[in-house]
Amino acid sequence: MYRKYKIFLILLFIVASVSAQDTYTALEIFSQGLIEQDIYTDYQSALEKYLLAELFAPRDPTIKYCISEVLYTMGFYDNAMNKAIEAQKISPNDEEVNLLIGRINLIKGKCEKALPFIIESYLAQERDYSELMRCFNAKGNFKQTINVVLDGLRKFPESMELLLKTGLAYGRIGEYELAIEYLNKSISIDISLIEVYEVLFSLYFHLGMEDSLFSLYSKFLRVTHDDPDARLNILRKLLTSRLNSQRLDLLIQTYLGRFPKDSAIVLQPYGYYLLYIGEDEYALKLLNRAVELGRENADIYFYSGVCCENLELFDSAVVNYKRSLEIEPRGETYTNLAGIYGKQEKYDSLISLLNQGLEKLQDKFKFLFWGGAIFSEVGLYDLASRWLQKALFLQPGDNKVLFALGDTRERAGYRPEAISILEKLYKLDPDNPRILNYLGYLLVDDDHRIKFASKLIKKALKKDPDNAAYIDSYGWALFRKGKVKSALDVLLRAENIYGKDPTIQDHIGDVYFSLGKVDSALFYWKKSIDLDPYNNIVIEKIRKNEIKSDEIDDK
Amino acid sequence: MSDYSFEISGIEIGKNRPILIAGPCAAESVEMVLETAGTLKDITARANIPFIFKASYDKANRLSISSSRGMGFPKGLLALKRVKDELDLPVITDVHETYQVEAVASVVDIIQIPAFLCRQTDLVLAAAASKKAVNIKKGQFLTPCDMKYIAEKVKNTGNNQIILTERGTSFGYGDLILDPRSIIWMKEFGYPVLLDITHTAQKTGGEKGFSGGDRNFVIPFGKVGMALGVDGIYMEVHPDPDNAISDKQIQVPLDDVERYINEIFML
Repeated sequence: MYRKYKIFLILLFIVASVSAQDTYTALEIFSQGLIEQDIYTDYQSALEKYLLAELFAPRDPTIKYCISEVLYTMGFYDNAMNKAIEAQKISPNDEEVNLLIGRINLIKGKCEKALPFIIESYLAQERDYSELMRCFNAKGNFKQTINVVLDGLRKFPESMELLLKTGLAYGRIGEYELAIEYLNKSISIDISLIEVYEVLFSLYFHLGMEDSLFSLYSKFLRVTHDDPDARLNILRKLLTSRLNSQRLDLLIQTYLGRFPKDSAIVLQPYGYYLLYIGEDEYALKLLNRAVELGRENADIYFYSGVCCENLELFDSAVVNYKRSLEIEPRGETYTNLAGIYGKQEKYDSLISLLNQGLEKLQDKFKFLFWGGAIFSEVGLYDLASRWLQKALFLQPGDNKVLFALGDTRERAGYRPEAISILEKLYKLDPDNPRILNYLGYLLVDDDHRIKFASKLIKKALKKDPDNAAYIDSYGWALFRKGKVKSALDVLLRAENIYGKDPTIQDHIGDVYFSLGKVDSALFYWKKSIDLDPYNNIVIEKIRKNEIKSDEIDDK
Repeated sequence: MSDYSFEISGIEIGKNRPILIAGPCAAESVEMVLETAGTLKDITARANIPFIFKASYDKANRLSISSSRGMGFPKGLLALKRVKDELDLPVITDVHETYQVEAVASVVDIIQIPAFLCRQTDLVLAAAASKKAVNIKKGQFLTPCDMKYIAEKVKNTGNNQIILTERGTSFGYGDLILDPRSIIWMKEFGYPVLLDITHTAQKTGGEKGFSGGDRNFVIPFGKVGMALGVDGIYMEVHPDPDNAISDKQIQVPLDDVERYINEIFML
């Protein structure tokens, strides 16, 4: 439609300017610009011509409009906006100019400003729908997004981009079947869309649709035969999906096994696969071989680091993680390396590394959360609290961060503060069993509101009856209520489910102690210390009671 | 020489030179598999005998539910891949399900059809379709002449890389017998024929829920096979048979393999 409009304007120009030399020159140059833009699609030359024409006709809105349009096409949105506003000032009611302003606002994510122009005008291009949808997405209004793209699909039913985005939007609102339908439609138009496969894989995983997953994977292997990196990505997704399936093993083995033993392309994914199934030593061997064959990247060093860590070759793990970070700084590499520094008690290196990571990484929130958790794990509670509070500053009210902060304050010895954080979390998420259990346990342990605390723990247990931590809390609540024998039965059940928890062992020790069975108590406290050698409270209980026990023996 | 001789990784099967297929009954650990394969490689190189390594990644046909099945898939198969890649040896293993064939074929040189499953048409066809060589072990219950029909299932797919292996015939309850005529009859079909000298010495189900046998027959049976012109000997070997998870009484101790081979192959 705008093409007709342009031709009409040119005719107007000719009629209006036969006697004006400047206008005539402007028209001549402007026409050359139009040819460059429309026929040769040479936007740079078109822009030069339009700018020259503007010198001869500085008040002409059409020339300004065309300059703005070319700038918009070339991606110079700020300049495009300035020029469009100049055109709008001269011709305020020009629909084309207003629509262009709307589009520029849209692409800049300024949805509020864009909407009056875009919605009230009309959507003419696939790109408009796509940008408008991006705006709604940014605002979290996915239902509105879907209305827009469905409207777009009526005009452009074969638009792969709109199909993809419709699928994504349905996915965001939990309409998974519709999401899958539209995503599959989009790959039926273009089977090489790697990003669609990635989303579909995630959906199939999420929904446990194994058959669809495997059929998609076979299709994916066919379309990506010349793109080993894309295959690597999906393979990594498959491996990290925790899909415990012999079919997955067979499929991966069949694909990987076909390559010759020294194929650099396949050594890397084979390494991932072996790592996934716990063959760390063999995995490391293949990843090292891949590096020897020239396949060096952040991933390969990262996974070599993981192998070394699993094999307790910590120095080699450090070397590999550092190499990975030199190639590409990634959050998980920083945190894994920091974890090793923590184990080696190299706290200065740990702090400096995490600060460096925070400086380099884009996703500050996530890294602050991870870093906070690591600081907390190694006992640097003040730093942990500071990092987690900074994360909360970026995303106030985030459940995971609040939980980690509550846990950190508890570990640091600030129990009332921890309880207050968990109470806040309980109000935000009253059905979350982790929160229910942790808050319940702290209240019980503090001999505080035991009835309410027991109610919370029972609610957590109802959601996950075989969780050893929840059973332990329940046993501890019974003990605090004075039901010692029942408490012992429950705690022993918790130990039977997960014997590696030092708190469960400690609690059993305490119960035995209260029954006067000091030897049994010592036995469980020592088991607790074997699992957590730095728990000073338990160490002290053993010290005191071992002396008592010796005294009894002496008598 | 067999009508349908072929070559696997530089080893001619079915020509005039007998081969050895040997290895543990079950892949029990990566270390055990690599140690056994490496030792056998050295021994066979010294004796100048073409050698293919064998191990089962899954012992799926155990008599008792409590019997161990070995490393299983995928770890057992990956142990075989390491033998192939790191020791540069051709490998053979058995399959029990059609869906396993493709993955197994991506690693091994020869796919083996277990004796108990030799009449399972779908399994035989799946193995044949992999285009890998197929070793069909003669069912203990089968007349040697019927092996012709099983070999034809493979041949009909266009895959002519077929080996037939004699592993004894059921004799009364819980015993096996080696009928030498079986080798002569099967050789008439034109396919390479091997003799499994350890399983023919087996007594099925004779030992309270697991198979027993008598290792003393292994060398004499090997000599019988060589005298009858078999294309190769098939023998199970274990570094510590007394503690093997299967076939304790018939697997040949790794330390004795050189003596066994010298006695059998010197004929």
